Amino acid sequence: MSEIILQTHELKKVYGKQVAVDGIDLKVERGSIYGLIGKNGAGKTTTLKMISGLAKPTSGSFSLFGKTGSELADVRGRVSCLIEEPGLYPNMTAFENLKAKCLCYGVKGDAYIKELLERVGLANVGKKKAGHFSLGMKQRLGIAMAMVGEPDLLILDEPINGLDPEGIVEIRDTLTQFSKEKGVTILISSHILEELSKVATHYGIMSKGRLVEQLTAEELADRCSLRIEAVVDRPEIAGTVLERLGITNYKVVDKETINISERLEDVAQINRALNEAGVLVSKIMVNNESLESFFLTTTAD
Amino acid sequence: MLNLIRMNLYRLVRMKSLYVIVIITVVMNIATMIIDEQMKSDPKQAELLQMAEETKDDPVSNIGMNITVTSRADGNYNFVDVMASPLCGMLCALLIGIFTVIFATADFSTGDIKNYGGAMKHRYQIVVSKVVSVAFYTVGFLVVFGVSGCIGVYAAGRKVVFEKMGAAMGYLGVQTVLHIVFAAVITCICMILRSNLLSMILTVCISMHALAAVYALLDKALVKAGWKNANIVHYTVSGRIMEYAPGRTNILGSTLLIAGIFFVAFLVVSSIFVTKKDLV
Repeated sequence: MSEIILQTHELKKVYGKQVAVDGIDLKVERGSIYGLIGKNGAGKTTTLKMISGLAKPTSGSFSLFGKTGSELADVRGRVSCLIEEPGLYPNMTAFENLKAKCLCYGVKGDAYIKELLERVGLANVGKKKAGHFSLGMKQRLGIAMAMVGEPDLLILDEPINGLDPEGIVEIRDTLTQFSKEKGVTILISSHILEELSKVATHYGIMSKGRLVEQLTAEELADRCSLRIEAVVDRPEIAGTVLERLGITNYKVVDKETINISERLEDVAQINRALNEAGVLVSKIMVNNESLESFFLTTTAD
Repeated sequence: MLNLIRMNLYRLVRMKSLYVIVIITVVMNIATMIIDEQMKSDPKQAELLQMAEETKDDPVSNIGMNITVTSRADGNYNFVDVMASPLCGMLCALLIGIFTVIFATADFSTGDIKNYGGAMKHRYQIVVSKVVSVAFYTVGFLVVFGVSGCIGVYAAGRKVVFEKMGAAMGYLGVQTVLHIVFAAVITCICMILRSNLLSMILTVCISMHALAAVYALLDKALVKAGWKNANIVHYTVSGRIMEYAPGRTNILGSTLLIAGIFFVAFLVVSSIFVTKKDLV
């Protein structure tokens, strides 16, 4: 089993009376790209703020690189982050913004800054001030700033926000390359599972401050793979029929569609049982569940 | 810590507001000296200047500023007088304070604090590095102020007389320390309030004696509590900046003590605040 570099234990954050993060336990393996997914307000950003040292947990704890409590201070420098919108000085150029971060981290060399700018596709911005950048350019510069000093753990909060499709592909490739070449572990949040699925090796799904599920990319692929989709005229009766057949893993999606996630080989038998019970089946087939549908199902109330 | 100071100095010299304030200072200094000279040649205006001169030793009685550069009998100016009036009149403190607020709150307002704040081994370093940076700025500002003041004198057709420079440098040294502490206190206030607007209002109020009413209320309460002739402003850094005129070496010890207490107290309180509270 790979080394766990980040582990939270009952991590909780309360703002006033509002519980933003409600006792989450997540594990991140070294070298992985961990996608933290959840709807807006699920608690992703607050979780990332706590892990990156910007906010203090109300209760619970977490370990980074095996260090916990007061020892965390020793490894804080190995973590870098981009939380919410990039923090840039608008009257400074991309180069100058990066230079400031490099000075802070004790990283020397203008060539390194140029390499970073190239890596995020900002090599040709010249003396243009960051304040005049488009949202996508700011986001790229924010990612470059987070990469300064080659951190061991890179925390990115919704990094593809505001990027055009081409930019999304570029950043995705950059992150994958960065992870593979430098062995960097990336913790990345998004509310778009479809996008995360193209880079993430592990997932944590958050809803209402809780971590409702953790799974690997393989497990997600399995979960989103096959199911029986049946279009019927009376789904409530169909449900009773399915239960009589011993099928419990089914979901009434709308007033005429039922998804069945078990006994996929028994399509014919299920069809016959439904017909015999007087349920009119207009369509029945083995189908794939979309990632979006999986996400909505998992985070449903 | 050294890296953090380097970063802060790097962004300090790249701030537009630094150059705006320097330009304002130079232009204002030169223009003031020229206008001042012209006023002295007009009997009516000279009378007004005389009145201002007479009330300038009562610095906390009114809101606002009273800056009158005293000339010698021959019409020329002593170097120490060119500096003393704007220093004691809190003009330098106001200009230093305004930039300090802009600088100290910039990383919170731009969100840059998120880029490095979490990675700090000890968060107090954020406060200390900013204090060191504004100390550099304060010294640089006072040098610019002194030079532009001298240029203003020459531009007005007068001369600057550099006499008793030992005592003058001693005086300017103490005022520099007081202004550095003033800037440090403002930085600490910014780190606690984290609001550009509130910090700016407070800085302007302190520099323009607008807190005189608050001090008066405190004095009243202290008198009631049994402290005869209580004068709280006498025990503040801004009060000492106003009171420490050239030649007042009798209050040197207490002035430096007050400056030291304010410096340490604000540094400790703001460091604890930054350490305990969430950065964002």
